[in-house]
Amino acid sequence: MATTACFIIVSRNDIPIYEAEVGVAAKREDAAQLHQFILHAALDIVQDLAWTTSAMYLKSVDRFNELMVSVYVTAGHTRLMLLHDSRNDDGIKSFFQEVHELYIKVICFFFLAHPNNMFHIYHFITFSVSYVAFS
Amino acid sequence: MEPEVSIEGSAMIQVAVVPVGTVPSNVLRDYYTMLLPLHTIPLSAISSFYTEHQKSPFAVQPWDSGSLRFKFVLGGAPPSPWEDFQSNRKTLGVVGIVHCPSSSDLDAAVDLFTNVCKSFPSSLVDRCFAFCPNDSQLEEGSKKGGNLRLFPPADRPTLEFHLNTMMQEIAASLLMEFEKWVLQAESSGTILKTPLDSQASLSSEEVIKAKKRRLGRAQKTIGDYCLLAGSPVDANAHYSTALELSRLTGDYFWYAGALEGSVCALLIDRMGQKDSALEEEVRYRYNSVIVNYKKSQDNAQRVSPLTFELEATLKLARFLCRRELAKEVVELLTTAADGAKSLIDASDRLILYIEIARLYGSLGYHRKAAFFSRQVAQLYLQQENRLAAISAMQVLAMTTKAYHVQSRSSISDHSLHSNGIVSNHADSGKANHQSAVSLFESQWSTLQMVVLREILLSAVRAGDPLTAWSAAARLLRSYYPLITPAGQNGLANALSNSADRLPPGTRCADPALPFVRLHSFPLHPTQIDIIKRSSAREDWWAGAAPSGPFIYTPFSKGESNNTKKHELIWIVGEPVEVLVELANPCGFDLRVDSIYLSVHSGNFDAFPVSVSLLPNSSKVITLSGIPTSVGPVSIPGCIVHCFGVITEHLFKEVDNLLLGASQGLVLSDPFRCCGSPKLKNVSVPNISVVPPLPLLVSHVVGGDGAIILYEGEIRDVWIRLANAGTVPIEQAHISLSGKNQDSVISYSSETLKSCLPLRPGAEVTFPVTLRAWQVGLVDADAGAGKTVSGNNMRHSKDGSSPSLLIHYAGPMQTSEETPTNGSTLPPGRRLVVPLQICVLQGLSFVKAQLLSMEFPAHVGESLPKLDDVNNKSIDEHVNSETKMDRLVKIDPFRGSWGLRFLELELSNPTDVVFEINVSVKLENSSSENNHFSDQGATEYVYPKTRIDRDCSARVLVPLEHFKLPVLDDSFFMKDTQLDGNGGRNASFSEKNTKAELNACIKNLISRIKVRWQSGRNSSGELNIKEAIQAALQTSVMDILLPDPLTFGFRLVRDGSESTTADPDKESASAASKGSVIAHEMTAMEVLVRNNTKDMLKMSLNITCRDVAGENCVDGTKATVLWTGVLSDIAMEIPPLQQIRHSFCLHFLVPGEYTLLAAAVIDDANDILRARAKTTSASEPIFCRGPPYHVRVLGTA
Repeated sequence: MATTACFIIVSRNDIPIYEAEVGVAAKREDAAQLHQFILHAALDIVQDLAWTTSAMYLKSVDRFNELMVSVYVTAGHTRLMLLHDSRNDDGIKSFFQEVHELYIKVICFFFLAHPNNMFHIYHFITFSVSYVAFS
Repeated sequence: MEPEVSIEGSAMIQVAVVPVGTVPSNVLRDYYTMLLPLHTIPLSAISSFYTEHQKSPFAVQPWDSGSLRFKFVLGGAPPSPWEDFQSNRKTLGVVGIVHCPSSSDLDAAVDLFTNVCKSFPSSLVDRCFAFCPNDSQLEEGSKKGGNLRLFPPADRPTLEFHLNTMMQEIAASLLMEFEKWVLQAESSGTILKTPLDSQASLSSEEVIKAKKRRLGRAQKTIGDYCLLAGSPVDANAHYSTALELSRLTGDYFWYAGALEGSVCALLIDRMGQKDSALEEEVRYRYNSVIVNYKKSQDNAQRVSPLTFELEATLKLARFLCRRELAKEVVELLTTAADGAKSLIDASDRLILYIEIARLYGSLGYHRKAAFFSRQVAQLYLQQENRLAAISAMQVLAMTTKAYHVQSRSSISDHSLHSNGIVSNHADSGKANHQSAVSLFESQWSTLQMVVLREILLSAVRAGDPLTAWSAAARLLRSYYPLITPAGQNGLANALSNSADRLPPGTRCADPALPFVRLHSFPLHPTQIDIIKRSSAREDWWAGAAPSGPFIYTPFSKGESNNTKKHELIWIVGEPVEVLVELANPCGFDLRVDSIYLSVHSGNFDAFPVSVSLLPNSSKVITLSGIPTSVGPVSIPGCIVHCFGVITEHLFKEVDNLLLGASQGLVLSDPFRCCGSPKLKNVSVPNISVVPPLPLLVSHVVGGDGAIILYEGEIRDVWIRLANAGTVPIEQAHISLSGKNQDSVISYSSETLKSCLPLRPGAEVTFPVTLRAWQVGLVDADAGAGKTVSGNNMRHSKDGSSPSLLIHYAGPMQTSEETPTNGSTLPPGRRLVVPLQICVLQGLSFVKAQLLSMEFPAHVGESLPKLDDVNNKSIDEHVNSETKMDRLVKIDPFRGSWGLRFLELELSNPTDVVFEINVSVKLENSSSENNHFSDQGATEYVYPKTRIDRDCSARVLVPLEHFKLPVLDDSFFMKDTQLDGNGGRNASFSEKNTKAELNACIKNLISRIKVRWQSGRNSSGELNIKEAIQAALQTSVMDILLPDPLTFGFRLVRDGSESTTADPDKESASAASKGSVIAHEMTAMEVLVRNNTKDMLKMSLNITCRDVAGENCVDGTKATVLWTGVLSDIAMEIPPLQQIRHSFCLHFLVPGEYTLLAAAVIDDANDILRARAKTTSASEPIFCRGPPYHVRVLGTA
């Protein structure tokens, strides 16, 4: 896994429903904030780019200094965004696909249980994503 | 790097605008804004100022369509080392601005301007504009000439026209200067250097290289001047040459510069017409420009032309900046942003980020723009000075929209302009959602907190306490759940510190703490209820009742509910209250210096209160105020003075927050985390203020406490009403409501009405007579409350006491100053006076039973009173005392047969003494036909019976006097009639009879009154009607109806009959003479009276029995001898007459004997049968008289 990485799931109405620093680099608060700022800004680009392609995996859509933003847009326009500093398209793509599968499982379960409450999803994805990221 | 670079920028003449002397900043800005529109001066307009001294080098200058472009730089820019490379970087003109009123000495000003111009060495034309000169200055200035241009005071269009002319003159001068420069450069050549060259070592090789390159550079520069002079075709020609030359000499840097110039010339030549071919051309050439700039960097020099590469990138990006080309622009900007790392100069990086942010912003990528703006702010913050901090603060303020942390003031500004902004699809979709949670956490809270913290930091550093306060307030209010208690304290301190630097009474658009939500609007207390009044109805207070025959109509229901829910009426001058709930979810004590209702309609005076809130606590407080004038009132929120600043807290915002919390969008509900229960959504009703109304206040004379009564007690209560309003009361109506309404016997509404109109301050007192109900009966009466309307229910909730409802209203016409239309009447009001009756258990009734008492009469000389009718007619002359005696005393000689008593058993469980007073009301029947004459009713009062506490007592009520005088068919009237009709309605007639009976019983019962008295002022009446009725039900006929025949015996002495008028004396004498001697013939007579109205035929039998009850007249062992007829005496008695029958008895043995008379009535009619309760018509009617005792004394 890359030295710096930040993973975030953004719901269709642009609310982050999950975020995690998954890199192995020493975690610094200001760096973590910068990561979120970059990811937040990249939403503008994703928003336009998502409609230009039928692929879910948009590869690296944005970058700031050495940090790149790769995005995977689900059919429901939930965006899985990964901030990383090294190029590994295939690895990132398979990571996104695994997270997407988990996300669908979780959301189906919660859609049945709590159709209006996205908040609980956060807690359930936490475990799942950590599992994928570090395995 | 320069800000705001564009491809067309190469054609712009940079003019410095400098203030000369003292020019107030706002005035300077004003003059500057007048200059700005003059950025393009058409060549056609300057021909009058232009004189061609030599042949112009600009051969194909477009005098018809071309123009000179200006870039005005306020204060001027410092000379750039790259001036030679790009002539548009030179400050070619200087415009000085003198504000004459503030600098009186024009000479000094001109000198000052000359000095200022020295700092712009490349300037070709200097002009000093002096505005607003006075007459002397005008005169003085006109003599001066030179650079000074005076602008006499005039209106703005004139001034602008004047300025335009002056600018045309400048443009013409500049054009002439450009021609001069180009001619000189063409003839003598010029040496052009850039910082890149200055670093080169002066080796011979380099010198030769420089010489070769000089021509190309000169051509490029001439091309620049051609562009500035507005002649793109000339420029293009020179650029082509320059390109060729520099390509040959490998002068990539200048090659790129010439290429840039050629693109600019191309664009100017096309006059702003854009097509795809042109766009493609520009894109191609600019990519080449960028590549060449990159190439020129290869040499390892300290000064890098990187900035030119970045500028070129930005220029291309700006040229392409459209949504359709977003991807390309983003690519360019990302590349440009990458270049920032290599920039050495921090200000270059700053300008780069600013430009990138601007371009992203114009592309509609607000989050990207915000990101780079924040980078700019961080660069500013690194500079550690106040001005940089102010810049950082302002830049950050621009990012707040993208991060949804706007100040409320900027939101309101923004909403005005928002229509002009191109909204993207995602924005429009989430608009609703954001309105609910925009300012609160859950959306990128980390970023929001960072941005707010940076705003706070920069504002503190910039010395802007209000912005600091606002940022800290937003941070604390929106993100308190994510901030540690220590952090919360820090923010509270920041708020206080900022407030210390603010003048007192400063207002801020962004609220801090506490959270304020609307709790409820208390309904009018029942004392001041308002009732709508309609002119159509006299009894307007009854208008609330449904008008139709149905209690419930589906049409009116929803309507009435709605109006009830959303309408609230306040009255001018009467204080009102609104409950709000405050919450302090933070970990420090919160002191709210003042809080009051915020009313925008301006017709309400709100009273401030101050509150302290403990950490993590909430509190419901009452805010009050007085409506001051008629009209609608809207209460959007509260004004709060907390942490030294006044803010407005809107209820709607908190409602949205709570809504977000309920949907899981917001982490925390500030009220719930303070332990406050969930409230229903309180809607703000439509509040309208009406003109003053009268106001009645009531109190019970003798104290407003509960009126304590014993069961059945009757008491008068005095109620005092006062008009506390400012309007007289002209109508008033009293009615009852609530439970136990029958406990109010009477109230004097006449007293109230007689006092109308009741002036303000006037009082009226009226009595209400109460009778306490039975304690045990309250539950049974609970249903009574249902009949009253829903409004009244809440009054009766508090207990079982009744209430007086006083509906009152002021004058029909309102006073002239109030603007009400004629059709609406001022509403009336309702005062509810609850009669707080506390009923204590009093005397309790145990049981009632009917007792009969019989003892025989003695046979005496006098005739016993056979007919009560006659007696009564005599009694009427006697006073009531004797009547009373007669009621209770039994005449032993008269005896009593079938005398009935009603025995009432009462117990006293209380701890006071009761006295019982039984009274019987009797109708006087002065004539036989007049049974029920009311006016002659007399009352028999029995002596009082005292019942001590915890004792019980019995009271006897004799029922003798209720007997009817005559047995006639009036009693059975209906009965007989119905029977006569054929008897088919037998069951019905039975019912009728029963009803008749019941009526009689009721009549009888109503005449018996059992009153009690306890202490000095407690008295009442026992309600025992049911009990008496139950007791009397079976034997009422016996009580009421007389026997058809009455019998009486008496002794006849000396054959003479003594009748005296005085029955008492008679009885007294009878007592002495009433003995019979044995062995003597004793003459006797029996009197038979017919009590009916018919002639009766009968056969009479007389028997005599001894003590053992043996018949001693007949038989073998008869001890009494007799003469006359004793059996089967046929008699006919006319109606209401009596007949005597004489006989003699001879007693052989002394002792006690009993005489009995009996008769068998022949041909009895129905009345008699009914009286005798016979079942068959053939059965004979047998009448028996009461026994009479005879004491026979021995002769010895």
